Amino acid sequence: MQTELNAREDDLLRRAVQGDEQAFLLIYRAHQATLYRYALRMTGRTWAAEELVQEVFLTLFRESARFDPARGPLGAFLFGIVRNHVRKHLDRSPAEVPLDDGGELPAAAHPVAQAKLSPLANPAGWTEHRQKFAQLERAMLEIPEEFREAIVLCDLEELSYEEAAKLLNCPIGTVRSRLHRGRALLMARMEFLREQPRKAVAR
Amino acid sequence: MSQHERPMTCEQFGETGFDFDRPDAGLSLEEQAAAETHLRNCPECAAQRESWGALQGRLRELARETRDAQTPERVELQLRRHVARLGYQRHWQRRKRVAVGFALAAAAAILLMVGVRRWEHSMAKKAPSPEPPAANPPEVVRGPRLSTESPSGSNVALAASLTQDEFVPIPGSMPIPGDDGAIVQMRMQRGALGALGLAVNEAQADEWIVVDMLVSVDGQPEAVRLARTTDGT
Repeated sequence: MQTELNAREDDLLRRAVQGDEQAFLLIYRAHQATLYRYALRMTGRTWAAEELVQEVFLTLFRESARFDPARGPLGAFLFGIVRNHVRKHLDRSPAEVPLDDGGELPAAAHPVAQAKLSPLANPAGWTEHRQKFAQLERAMLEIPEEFREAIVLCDLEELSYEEAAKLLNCPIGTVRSRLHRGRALLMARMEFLREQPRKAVAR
Repeated sequence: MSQHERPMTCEQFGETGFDFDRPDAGLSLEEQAAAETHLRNCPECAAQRESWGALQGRLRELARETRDAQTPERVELQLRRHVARLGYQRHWQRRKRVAVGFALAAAAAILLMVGVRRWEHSMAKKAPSPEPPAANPPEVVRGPRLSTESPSGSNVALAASLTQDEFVPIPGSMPIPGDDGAIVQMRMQRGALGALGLAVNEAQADEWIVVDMLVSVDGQPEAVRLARTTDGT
């Protein structure tokens, strides 16, 4: 069954590379949101996530021959590409820390701000809501990439340990260990940001 | 002795993760039981897990809030433009390939035709002709011979009105009075008689025959007949 799906994706990909827009849209719409969320949560910037998703698909067109349906689904292949691009992006700009308002974009453009609460209907509630997540997002960006990645996949994308291990190409034990250390660091960072000294030990 | 038969340490508890009770965490029932026991007996780890519980709630909320985050439509538009460009380039590349293919095929056909023609010419020049054609005077003229000479050919077939008995005058020839002329025996294709104005059966035009040609003193052929062989045929 999975092999059939992979073969279908392979067929779609070949058609897309030959200029079939419909085939491209089927692939793009099936995977763009996952890739975008991963890039956004890893970089903390909407513009970077946008650019990275675009780069992922351009890479897919250039290197479509590398996709082997026998080795796994297209989603995993795309995740491998976005992961590489995110890593390169973070290597290029390691010292950058986004502003509390969600980076260069207006706060209203941030995905969190786009959800549910309207700044016009309830400005105070919206601000509180926004700040609550801004602090968490900032703390996330301050922990090392490999731990952040495990948290993004298991706690935000809510993947199982096994799925995360497959995507990260490592054993489940490694995912568990990275999660533990990442969570401990995240808690410590949140405490620090709240300026409430508390012992949150990252072992 | 298994490590889980002893009480779990804080470090070991940390290794299992805070969500040791998660079904997909890959822990055995013994490991889960050991972690629960450790949690009951270790206030520090219990406090950490409680903190984690609060943070996990916020992470889940953040996950919910951003679950519908999508790449802006402009990215899709840009990529669609790219795909359309790929299709356009591919279309033209295909047409270019077809055109180049046709051009190459045409060039190859022309070269082949020229080659065949040249080969035919060269073969025609190189091939030793079994007998020189009569239409080529330097090769066929062996000097006047008497009609009694034995012909080398074996032909006895008659061409139109041509016989072995009588000379047939060549149309348009002007016999010189008092000139006996000379008889030249030559081998020629029957079709060559057509050039002298004689009627030739086209079905036998390729046939080689030996003829006696009566030639006047000025070198003009006046009459022709089939040559006689020594045995009188």
